[in-house]
Amino acid sequence: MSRDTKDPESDDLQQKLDALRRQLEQSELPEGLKQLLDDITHGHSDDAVATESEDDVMFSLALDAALKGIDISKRYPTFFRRLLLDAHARQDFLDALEILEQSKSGELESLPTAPSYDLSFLKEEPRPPRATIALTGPAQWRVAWQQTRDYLNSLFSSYLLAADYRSSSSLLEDTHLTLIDDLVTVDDSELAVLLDAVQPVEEPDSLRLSLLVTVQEKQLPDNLVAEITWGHYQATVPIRNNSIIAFPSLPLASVTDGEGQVVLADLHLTISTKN
Amino acid sequence: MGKKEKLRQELEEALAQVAQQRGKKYAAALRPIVLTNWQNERVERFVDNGTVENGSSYVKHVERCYDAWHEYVHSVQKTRDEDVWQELFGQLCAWAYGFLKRKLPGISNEEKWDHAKSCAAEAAIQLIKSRFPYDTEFGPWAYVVLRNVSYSYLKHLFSSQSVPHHEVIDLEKWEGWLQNLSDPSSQKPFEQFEVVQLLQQAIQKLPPGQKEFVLLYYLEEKSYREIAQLTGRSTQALYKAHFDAIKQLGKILGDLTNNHE
Repeated sequence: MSRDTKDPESDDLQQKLDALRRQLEQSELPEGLKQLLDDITHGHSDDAVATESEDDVMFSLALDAALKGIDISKRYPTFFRRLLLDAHARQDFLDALEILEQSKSGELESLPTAPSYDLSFLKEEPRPPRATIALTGPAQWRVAWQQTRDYLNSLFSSYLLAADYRSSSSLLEDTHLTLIDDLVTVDDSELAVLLDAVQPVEEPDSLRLSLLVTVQEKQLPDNLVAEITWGHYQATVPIRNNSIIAFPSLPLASVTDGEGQVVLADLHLTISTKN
Repeated sequence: MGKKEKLRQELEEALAQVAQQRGKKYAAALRPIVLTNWQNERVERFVDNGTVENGSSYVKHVERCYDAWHEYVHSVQKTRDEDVWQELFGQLCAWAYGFLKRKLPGISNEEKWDHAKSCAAEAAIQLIKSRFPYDTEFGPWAYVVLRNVSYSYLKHLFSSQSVPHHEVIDLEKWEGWLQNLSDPSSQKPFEQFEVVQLLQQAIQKLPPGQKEFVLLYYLEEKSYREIAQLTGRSTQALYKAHFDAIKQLGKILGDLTNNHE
């Protein structure tokens, strides 16, 4: 959320509010009135400011809680105060509550046409390719995945990569997408591989790639490495069992066109034993 | 050990317990979910805002959500079951239509419906590809995906127009009465009974729905559930009354304190 920069006057007002709160704590006002005054004064306080990426997590949690009859002013007080301050977020929250409540009770606005849909586009959505496994010697192997640029483009969609998408609403969170989620059997071990990409709100021109490799019932060999090659980006990192491996930040410009909207290169991930 | 690392340790201990209780395969399915959420600082947020007490209760929470939603999410994302999708897509269309009715009041219903179907299709693709965090219910999560997609769709559709800006409460409107009420150096600070009187007067001036909410919630200390039962109003209507009452009370108190001077 964008807030005005703090100036000396608001600092002064904040001090007065703090003084009021102290006064209230010491007074013998009925609890309910104290709470009411507290809510009114907190609607002014900077402690209600959350980071943008917190918002979506909190939004779905608060929405869920409210729909279950839980009082979000008590369960999530900071988020509640934030809604008090931000008319747009507040309206969004009220709209969401109304839509989901009506949806649950079958009272949503009637739709202009009968609800029969052609969902073939879902079947046409490309599915992730399978891994290629190569045994390179005793207890030596290499598993490789190649994600085509077509798949990556459909995965991100032009909206997600475009920088202006990030500014279209301050309620957007970091975008988390799974680039590879696969289970492969290598050397009698079942490896679960999860490669995630995060487009941070605060750094929309880059991607953070993280890899998690787990193996059931066994320990991973301690000489495993993961390598990603994607356009002009190349990085190799050692793999530790059951740990999330963070790759160095990837500038979007190294894999997309000048507009940052179209992925131009295939992504290659290789996990291999190192000699 | 840092806070994040301590949390990681708690998660590992809890996952080891899950492996003992429900088998290694089940724990192996939870592990990437839990650790990715930890990596993305989602677990930390849950603990910080009190949704869960610690790493162990977070894993239990994920376990519950996984049991409740795994089969459904699998049919949505992996097998893309036609029947499941017919229903879900219908829901997405209806949500998108409701969303656009509120955001685009000036265009025809047919046009809104066309846009709603486009938003729903884009959201459907995102739902297939996004990672469900298994620490929340599917419905609100899917709605947030739809809402975000719809905002970006609108942004692209009307790229020449500006998107709605946040209306931050005008602090000056508050400042007058807050100064009087709280300035410890004020020559004429309000006495406690005056604060109560002012509040009572302000509450009396609220519109009936807001006044009813304030009296039941703050003075009679009824819960949301109880107020909903007593008044027959929807959750949305109660939250609207709550927000509006607080905003309104700020304004009324401002006027009252100005008159007091």
